[in-house]
Order: sequence, then structure tokens, then C-alpha cells
Amino acid sequence: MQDNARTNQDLQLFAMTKSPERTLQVLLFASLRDQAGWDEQCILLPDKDVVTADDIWHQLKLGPRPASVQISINQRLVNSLTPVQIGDEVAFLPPFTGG
Amino acid sequence: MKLLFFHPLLEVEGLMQKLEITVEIHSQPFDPWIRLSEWSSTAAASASFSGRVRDVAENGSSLEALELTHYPGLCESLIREDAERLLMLHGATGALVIHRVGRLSPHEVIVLVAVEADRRGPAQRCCMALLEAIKHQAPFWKKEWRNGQGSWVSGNTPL
Repeated sequence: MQDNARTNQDLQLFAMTKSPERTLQVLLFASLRDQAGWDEQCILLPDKDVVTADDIWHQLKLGPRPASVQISINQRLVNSLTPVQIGDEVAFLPPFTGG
Repeated sequence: MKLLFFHPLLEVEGLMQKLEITVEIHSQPFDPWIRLSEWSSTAAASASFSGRVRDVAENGSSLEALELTHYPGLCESLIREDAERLLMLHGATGALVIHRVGRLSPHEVIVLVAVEADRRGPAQRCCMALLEAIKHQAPFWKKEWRNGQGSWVSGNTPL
């Protein structure tokens, strides 16, 4: 009985973590795309009360974030300690070279 | 897209000033002279800048092509915010920004910036400031192609 309960609880936890509601979208651009080998990924939110943009960067395992890499959340530039929310679009932006 | 902006402070003071701002990002070539003639109004002063792709790379070797990528949405909104702020700062009345993305050959036009005002000083100063803002604050990235190999450009060319 106890084993069944634990199994059900595990399944619920698994369903919660795999649920689309527990994810956010991460975008990479330019040299960061080449470094990571992808440009867009749906990732699971870490299990913390407050998850910052910097936490998301560390989850990507791309090494220390260069100070020149800017961050945007839902198409607004933010600092690295800005909290992210479920369903956000978080983008990491290498230095700009337009014009 | 042409949008009209009314600065909140001017609205409060009852000094409504209409700012006409057009921002376009194209994947196809455009003729800056045609676009300028279509855009220009009866303003007393206007200043413009158009930039073309160089035929040499950062390291001085021959450039095959320049590839430009951007962050759609954020890019347009940041340019528009900069244009609105700089038009207000310099006392200018309208701005046109057209920027290319995609793969460009040497000598193709990459950017057009134009500003209208009532006097030459505000038009010229604002045009220069807006171009620099686009270069440093809008999410575009250049990749140089040489001999079939691409490499990301590390920074902007000196002023």
C-alpha cells in the first residue's frame, strides 16, 4: 500500500515536472547558438521558489556567462537576477553588431 | 510600419508633438533613394545615412558575403524606443529606419536611417545618434563569410 502510494506520488511528480505548465522557452542567438548547437529549447523550471534568468543560464551548461551577454525576458531587456516565470520566453544575447 | 507617438510629458503639458517613426526590417534588397523619396515630407530639414556592405572582412581579407540575423520583435521595439527618445531629445519630428537581414553581398545596402526636423542641427545630430543606437543597442548580429567559412563579427567598426 505504502509502495503504491509512493509510486503514485512519483508519477504525479513526474507528470508535474513534464507538464507544459512547468516549462519556459529559451532562445540563443549568433555565437551562442553555435556554442550550444541549438537555437530554441523548451526547458523545465528548476525546483526552487524563485528562479532567476541566471539560474536558467547555469542550467544550460554553457560555462560562465560572459558579462557582455545580455538577457531578455518576454522581449524586454532585464538583469540576470530578474525572476522568470512559467511560460516565459528567455533569450540570451551576445554583443550586438548591427548597422 | 509607420506609428505616431505622443510623448507623455508633452501630453501632460498640453504640448502635443507628433513623432512619425517608421521601422522596417527586410530580408530582400531595397533602394534607399526610392525609400527616401517615398518617405520624405515637407519638413524644412532632413538628414540621412545609408550604409553598404564592405568588400573586405574584419581581418582585411576578401569578403564573400555578410549574413545578418536579428531577434524579431525585440529588435523593432528597441529601435522604435530609441527613435522616440532621440527625436524628443534632439527636437526632431520624424525618423525612418530600414535594416537588412539575411545574406548580403558586398556593396548591398545594409541600413538606411533618416531624420526630419525643422532645422539642420537637430536633423543631423539625431540621425547620427539614432544610427549609433542601432549599431550598439539593437539585437542584430553579423557573420562574415570568407572562402565558404563563416565567423561572427566581434564588434562594430570605429565611428
